[in-house]
Amino acid sequence: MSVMAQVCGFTLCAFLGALCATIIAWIWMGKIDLSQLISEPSGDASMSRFQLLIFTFVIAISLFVLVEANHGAIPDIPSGVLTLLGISASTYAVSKGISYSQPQLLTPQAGSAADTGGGAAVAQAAADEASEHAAAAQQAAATTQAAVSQMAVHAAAAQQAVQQTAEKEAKAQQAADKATGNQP
Amino acid sequence: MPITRILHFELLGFLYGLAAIVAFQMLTGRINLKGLFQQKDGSTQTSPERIQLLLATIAAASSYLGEVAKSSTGTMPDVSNNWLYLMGGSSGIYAVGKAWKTWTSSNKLGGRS
Repeated sequence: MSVMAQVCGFTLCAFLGALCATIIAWIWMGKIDLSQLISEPSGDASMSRFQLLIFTFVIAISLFVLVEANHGAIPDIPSGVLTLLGISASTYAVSKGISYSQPQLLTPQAGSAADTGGGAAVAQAAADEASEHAAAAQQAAATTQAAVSQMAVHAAAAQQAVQQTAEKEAKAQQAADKATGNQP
Repeated sequence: MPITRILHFELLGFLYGLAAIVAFQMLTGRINLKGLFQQKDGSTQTSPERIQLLLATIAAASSYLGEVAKSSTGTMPDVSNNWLYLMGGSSGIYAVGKAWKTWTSSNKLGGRS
């Protein structure tokens, strides 16, 4: 039983270690994109997100440092710390509510889009979307062109059939006249 | 080495690594910080309430980290009421300022259209 517990524990350690290392490596390589970590939907950085980020790191690192001094036990979290985190999270929530209460202000401003990193990202996204739409429009135009060509072929075939029918009708008329002796 | 110590060091290393990467990306500009101090009403003016919130945040965070470094008993130090009043007031000023600017900008846009 003790060996089994040790094996499970070391497996868990290895899994968590690999997970942490993978997350760090992906962030470093850019596979996990943090460029908009503290940005608002408009592309500008948000002070309330920045504040929440700082407090989260400070409290989390403090907690883990104190676990070591507390002989491996998690220390009690005082109410003052919880209040501080509550103030920070409430500021973030209120800020987000204010931003989303006026949706017309959430769109990036054209003047600042060119010279800001967030604006550039938004402009790139818009350009990508526009190029997707252009490709779709081109495909639709090609499909329409093919349909028009097919219609022209069908129209020519129909015209030829009409012509052939008229010729046959004329021949039949001629044969009928010949049979009845009515020469034209 | 016991498993709990290995886990503890793994998670502490992850937190330090994450904090270091976030700080590095902020300093090198990979995390967008443009407009952090600017008003969001279309002007490029610096917003005083954002600067005071940043200063209060840095002061409170560094003060708390100092208390944690001094703590030898292993208990988390409490945050004094004065710091809580400071952060509450500072955040309140920021939120009220942001609400005011947002709604006045919205009214201006509404008047134009």
